[in-house]
Amino acid sequence: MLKNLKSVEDDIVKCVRCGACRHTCPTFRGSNEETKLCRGRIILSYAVEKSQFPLSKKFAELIYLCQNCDTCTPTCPTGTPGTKIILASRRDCFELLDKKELVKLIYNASGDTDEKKLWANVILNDIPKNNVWHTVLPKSLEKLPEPRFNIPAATNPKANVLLFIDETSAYVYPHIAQKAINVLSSVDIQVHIPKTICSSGAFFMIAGDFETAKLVASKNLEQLEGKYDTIVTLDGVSVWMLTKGYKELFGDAKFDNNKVESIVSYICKMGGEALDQNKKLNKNIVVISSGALKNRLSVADATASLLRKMGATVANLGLEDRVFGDEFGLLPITNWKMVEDVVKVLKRTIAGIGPDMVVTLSPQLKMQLSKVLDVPVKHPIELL
Amino acid sequence: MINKKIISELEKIVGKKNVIISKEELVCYSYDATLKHHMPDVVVKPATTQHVSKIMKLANKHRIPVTPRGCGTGLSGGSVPVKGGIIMSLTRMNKILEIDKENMLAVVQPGVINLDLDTTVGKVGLFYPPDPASKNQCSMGGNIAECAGGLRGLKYGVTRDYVIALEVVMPNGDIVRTGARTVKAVTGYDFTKLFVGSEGTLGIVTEITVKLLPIREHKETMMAMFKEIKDAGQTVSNIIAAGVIPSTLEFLDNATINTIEDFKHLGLNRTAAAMLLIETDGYKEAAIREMNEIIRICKETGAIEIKKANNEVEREELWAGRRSALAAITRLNPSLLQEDIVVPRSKVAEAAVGCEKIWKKYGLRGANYGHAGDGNLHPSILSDERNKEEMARAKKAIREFFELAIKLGGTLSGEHGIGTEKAPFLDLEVSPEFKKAMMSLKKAWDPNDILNPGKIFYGRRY
Repeated sequence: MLKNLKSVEDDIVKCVRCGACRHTCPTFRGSNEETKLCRGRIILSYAVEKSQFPLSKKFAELIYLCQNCDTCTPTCPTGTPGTKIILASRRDCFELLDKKELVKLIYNASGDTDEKKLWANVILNDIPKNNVWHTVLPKSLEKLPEPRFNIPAATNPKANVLLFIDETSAYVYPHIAQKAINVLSSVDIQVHIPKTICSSGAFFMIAGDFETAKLVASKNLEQLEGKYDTIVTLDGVSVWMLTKGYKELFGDAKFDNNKVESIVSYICKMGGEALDQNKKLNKNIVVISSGALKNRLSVADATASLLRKMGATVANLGLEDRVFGDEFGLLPITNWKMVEDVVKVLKRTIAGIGPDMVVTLSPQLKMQLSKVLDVPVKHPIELL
Repeated sequence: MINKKIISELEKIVGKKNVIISKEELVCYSYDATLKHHMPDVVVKPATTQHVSKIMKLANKHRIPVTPRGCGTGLSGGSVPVKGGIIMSLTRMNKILEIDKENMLAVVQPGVINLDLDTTVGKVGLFYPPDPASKNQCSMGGNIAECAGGLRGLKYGVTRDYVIALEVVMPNGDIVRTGARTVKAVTGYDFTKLFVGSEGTLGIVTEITVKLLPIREHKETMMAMFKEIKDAGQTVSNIIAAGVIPSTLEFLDNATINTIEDFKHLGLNRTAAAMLLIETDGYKEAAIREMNEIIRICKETGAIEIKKANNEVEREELWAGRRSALAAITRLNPSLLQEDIVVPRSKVAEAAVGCEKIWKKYGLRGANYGHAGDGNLHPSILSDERNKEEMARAKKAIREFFELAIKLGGTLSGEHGIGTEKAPFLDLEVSPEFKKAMMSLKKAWDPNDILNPGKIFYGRRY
């Protein structure tokens, strides 16, 4: 019984197969293949849900090619929630197929890159040794040192902020997290960080492994409960995960998730107080979002708005070009060849604009795009 | 029918990665934008005319059905492989081969997206007029197969009016070139026009030469609301009679207006029985003069509200409603059965009123909108394909839509094609003699009936 797909059947039948998603779906735009299109994945999911053929490894292979960017949902004339359907398919895969085989499929689908090893090392920090991910991902890597941050005490704090540091910012780009702490402290905000740095669990949830996602996410619950005025994230995905994701995993959240917002939105709300008025950013910038989920687009809008306040010229791209679908920035779990195709389209768009740099709030996206683009890729905090 | 040997032959022609055989992947090629679906046995993706020719020779030799497929956005089941066999996906053949500004024409492969062609020629000051609602995602090959229309049909015509030459692979694998790159050409039969709208049953188009027009200098846009559908119908007739040819003349009925308003909150008049959205284009002075004439006619025919766009933002606002029509009505019920009848322009009001009576008679939810200036309406039944009893009623209503169109001197389809969806109703319009003539042509060119079988002629009557 495919209970997760069954639960979204009313969403599936909304799809009228018009193909409007062809225009924006990054995996389709990169490959021109119907099997790598939101519409194709929905039809495939429906066929499996209706027992036209059984849930299989091949089904999983195709479903895991979706980058979860969610450009399909705002593009769809009938409002079919493509990402929601894909998540249900993946959840059924994790509940019904051999988990170990599935993790192997996810992990082995890509090439053997340094980024992939680093990523594996980072996510293994957060899960128990007996978890299926530990049994498949390589164990030979050195343990990463625990990140340490210097947090100044504000003498007369006007607000208490918990800075939620995602795993990539903590381990790969600690300087971005430290800079964010410094910027907020400089305007008399008392910054707190979680006692234990732990990922939000978004990756596992998006992979369909809700069990592991819950294990990881529950570690954060207590840490988020303090009397903070705002919970500020360094990336867009964490905003989504700490609000909608945690609601789905735990029901009504144990902390006030209305308090969660991204660092760019927070700084914008402060009216640019944290900005150095003497510093002008005379750059031509393209802002890229890791996805089109509503909060991620608003994060990209806030990033663009912040950069404009700083004096930069920011390219206002269409939905199809401003989004780089990347499985929440986790290239390693997708098919490397296909990602290269996706990147080709992105590179063409960027070359057409000819910016001085690309800016993204997604640290994972920064990690991957830095490898493939010819211009520097920055997190907005680095430019403050 | 398709064994390992055939698969291996196909792989030799197009390369292994361009042949799909796993059922999980095949299902992604089993449908179009209708409710129809059928699994192919294999999907083959050729990149050249030679590939297409070799595949057809192989299929013809082994009597394997071949269904050509562009982007799968059709609305008549044309690319659904109802007899199984090979789906020939032409999306790899997606190059714009030439833009000839001097002669105002373009040469493209069938997998080129309509929008991409229009955007590319726009850079040299030209445009490709046929603009189906799916132009962002439909292919030129599919446009040719179904003779796609669009919003600009009244003034600029349909796909058939722009295709001047074709390269076609025949069912036996022969490669033929039809037409010429010239303005005039009467050398031999006009097979170019015959292939356009032949729904992929006579040959597979591998290269298309289309003529283009210079981009118009100016556009004027207005919206008029009417208390009665007949007033809107009279307005359409009077506009045409006055010698004014708008570039678009769109009709939306009360059900569509209300569903758009529920969904978009544009401030449309919910009590209006009909809305016309009208655009004129050309030299600025001419477009304005024509629009003034149209506004005068609308007032004369009793429009209860007239709104003219004064700038690009207002123009977009007026179009927002029309563009969201499909989205609005499909959000009400999951399955949309949309038809494509055409009646003489003078009968548009009668057809619209008649369609509403029909869906009400069967206790169904419906909506109607379309290209009033062309007499082309898209009466739509909003249903749920999982509700068998309701679907049975919907099918009866659809049959009556067609009977109404024929009674009014119209035709079954204006721009979607017959395919599988309208095939059961072909006899309502086509005489046995004409059907025999068409079938004998098909038989002469495709004696083994391998190319897109099961379409146009073979509908089960109900």
